[in-house]
Amino acid sequence: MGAYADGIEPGLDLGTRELVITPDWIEKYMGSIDARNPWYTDDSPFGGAIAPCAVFNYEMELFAGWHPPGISGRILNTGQTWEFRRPMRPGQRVILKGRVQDRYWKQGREYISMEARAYDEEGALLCRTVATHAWPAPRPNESTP
Amino acid sequence: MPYRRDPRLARPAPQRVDTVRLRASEVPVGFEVPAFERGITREMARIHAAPMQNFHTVLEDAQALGYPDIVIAGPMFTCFFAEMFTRCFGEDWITTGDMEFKLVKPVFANQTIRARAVCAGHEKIGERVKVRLDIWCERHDDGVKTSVGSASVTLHP
Repeated sequence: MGAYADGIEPGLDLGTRELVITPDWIEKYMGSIDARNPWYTDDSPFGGAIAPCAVFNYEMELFAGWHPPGISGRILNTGQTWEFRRPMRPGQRVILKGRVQDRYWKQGREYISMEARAYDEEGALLCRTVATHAWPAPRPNESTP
Repeated sequence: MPYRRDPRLARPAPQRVDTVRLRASEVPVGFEVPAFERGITREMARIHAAPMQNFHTVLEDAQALGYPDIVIAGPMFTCFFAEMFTRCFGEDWITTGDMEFKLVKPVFANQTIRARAVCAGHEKIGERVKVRLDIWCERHDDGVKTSVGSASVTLHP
């Protein structure tokens, strides 16, 4: 048995999802920050349009199974880490893989960080993120394994 | 309150709109990347967090939790930083950009937020140069920082 009764342990595989970068994703990005860039609609130095590197800024957090039950409404997004490695293109199929990276308690809050990676169809890394969420929680009982 | 300049700034930030690709020699320590600033409307917040219906998109849900307005979801500031760096470092940001930041204050709809970055150092990596930057978002009205962190990008010398 792991350290957490809910089974949300560091290393927990959150599964794989596939997405296609549609023009709607790119419009959503541009609309959400009121920023149009011809790289995303016309042409770029990569040859043709590319998607914004952070086009999946929210989507990559949306794996199920990394939040314990009963904490919705109390979750704080405390930080983000990103690595960008290859351009993504409109129409491209992207494979997202998620896992629980860490879980710990600190100063009255419990924290869980989730790592998500985006790959192309050949398995090359496009980008990686780690999102950390926290919620108020009592100190775990140290006698519990 | 007037716009506050970071005391480390070596020179005024150039005003660029188009995407460029700066070289490391053009980014000395103290250089400020042209800021990315937006007044975040409720509509922008809804577009960003759609299709979710919660305190990031619905005013009544935010008020029920005691917030004065829709709470802007943290990933929006990933977009602020990423767009700022894409416009300044171009292809190099898309292929070598790293960043991490902590969200230290909530941001609500109808606040204006400015993403900023200042070069903090250089590190030679083979033929290229990794440029390290201090990054943060601040409220336009009072300069209070809402997120703080660091970034790096590897550039041609």
